Amino acid sequence: MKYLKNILLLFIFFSSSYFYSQLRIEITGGAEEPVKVAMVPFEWRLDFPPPAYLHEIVKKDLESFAEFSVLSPEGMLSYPTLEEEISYRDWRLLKVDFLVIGAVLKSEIEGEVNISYSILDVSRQKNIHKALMMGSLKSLNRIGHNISDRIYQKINGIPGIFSTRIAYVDKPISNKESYDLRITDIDGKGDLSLFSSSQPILSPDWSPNGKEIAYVSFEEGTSRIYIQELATGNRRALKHEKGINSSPSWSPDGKFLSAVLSKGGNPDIYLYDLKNNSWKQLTDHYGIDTEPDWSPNGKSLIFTSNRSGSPQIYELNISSMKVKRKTFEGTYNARARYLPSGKKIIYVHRKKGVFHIALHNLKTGKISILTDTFLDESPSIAPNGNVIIYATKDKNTDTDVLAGVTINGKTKFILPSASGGAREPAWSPILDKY
Amino acid sequence: MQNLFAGFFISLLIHLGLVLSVSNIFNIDLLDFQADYSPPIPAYLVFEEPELISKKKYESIIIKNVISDPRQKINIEEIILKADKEILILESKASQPKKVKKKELHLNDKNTVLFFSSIIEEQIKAVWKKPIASDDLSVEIFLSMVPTGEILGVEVTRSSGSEAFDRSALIAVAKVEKFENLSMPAKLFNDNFRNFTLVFKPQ
Repeated sequence: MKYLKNILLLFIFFSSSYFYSQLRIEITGGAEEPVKVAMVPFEWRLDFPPPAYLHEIVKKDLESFAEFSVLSPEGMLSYPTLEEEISYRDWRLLKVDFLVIGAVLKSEIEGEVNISYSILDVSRQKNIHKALMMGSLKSLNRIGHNISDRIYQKINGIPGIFSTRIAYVDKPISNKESYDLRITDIDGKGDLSLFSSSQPILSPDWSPNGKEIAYVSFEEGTSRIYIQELATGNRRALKHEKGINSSPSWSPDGKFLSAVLSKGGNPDIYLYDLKNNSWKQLTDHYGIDTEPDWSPNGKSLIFTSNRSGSPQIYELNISSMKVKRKTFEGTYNARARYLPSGKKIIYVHRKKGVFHIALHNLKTGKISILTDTFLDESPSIAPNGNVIIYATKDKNTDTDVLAGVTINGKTKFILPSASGGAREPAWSPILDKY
Repeated sequence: MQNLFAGFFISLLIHLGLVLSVSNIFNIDLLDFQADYSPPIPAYLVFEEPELISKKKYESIIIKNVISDPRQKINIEEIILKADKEILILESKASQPKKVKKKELHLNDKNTVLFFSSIIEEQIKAVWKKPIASDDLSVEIFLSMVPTGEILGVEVTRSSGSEAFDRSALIAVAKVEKFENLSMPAKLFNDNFRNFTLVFKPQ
């Protein structure tokens, strides 16, 4: 019996080792060059010339963070509109990874167009996305951004951000005396003013549905938190408390705001219930607690506090009300924001007297510094978690500008802005759900 | 005393047998035996075939050494001459059938499999464009290959959960189409490379 058992065990051992012996090869690194997309000019089937070229809009979008290389029409060997017209061999020779073809068609509705397009995988000769869109002839730009978003999403697996917008505060400068709350497309177009005041405006924050913005205004002499609806321009104030009312931040479900009040004598984090219009205290410490931000799952908040002597980042678990210090490196860490994954945060980190934007992995504790500019502040993360926008000083012109950096630190850019007083950027959520 | 007689008798029988057989009294056709004995020379040549591959392997390992030690200036011709000599020695040793068996075992060892695995890895790496933000993802792809290196079957055995990430891996395999520089003995191929799994994971 004993022998039998041993033999059986031996058999199991060998058979399992046989199955495991199946060769596994791990691929960890990849090619360095960006994904190559060929954006064939869409066929224009209308009686008048096109006011804008979609392929040009998409090309500009996809190339903006150096994540794609887009083949220009001059480099193409043919201009297919239909799948049957594609000669995959040609596109393979041009080293194209993905091919986008399409056409702009007449619509039955006056002033509108229909757009049909396909994204094709050249190596496997497969259609991976086919869509029909309808839109106004006037908003070809928006349609273009929307197509860019879908291409980005299909290839990278995370949403594209070319249709998103950025809210920011325009400070008074030499030829302008008011504070302006403005929103702009990320390519700097469609810049418009939401609210203007001779007194400071601070910390705008988008509601999760992208329809409202909360911000702090000093228009009545003291700081107050307002919510403004974008479509109508209607404003409403939160219940005002004595002292500081600042740093509003929407909860992910849109039902609450966290903010900072000093009615208890010193600034603490409070919770505002939008249904009952009531405040509830979350932190109670004699130090300064400020700049709260919600974790994407809504279960915790991160905030800046000087309770240890220097500004550091802390995390508050909302159900257990326990506070945990998160940053230990350096003597200045502030204005933290969660990434959409909730696993990493970004904040302003001072190193050798210079303020940088740092990326901090909450799990491993690894910190990487993303920017090399001089006075970086108030970082805000794109809804896809891949790009950070922050306010900084342009050394050449000595003006306030909004600058961006991709999360891998590889691509840096400056947002085109008309005036020279842009501050406190806030990136919108994904506005067009698809 | 009895033992002496028995010994004498047996010895007599043996000697008688020997003398008779030499005088060809049993009519054994010695030429037939000779004819049977001559073929082994071509037969050995047949056996040398796997050695030819071991020669190839030997060369590639030498090349690897050159790469791994760039500080030393090495005369490549000298190395090839040296390698040729060593291969000759190996071949002469291999002409003994027993040694051939040993060599075959050697070919199946871990390092050889690792060597060919790294050839496959390099070819996939050169064409894999991983999507942005694929930090914690990994996908397993089961491949069926024929000895020429051509990929016959591709199947996702464990998805990463991200359609885009899985697709990027499948595209990399499709781009390779056929693995180069994978000439190896049939046994080594059948045991390891006819079916294998590629695991794509960025760091």
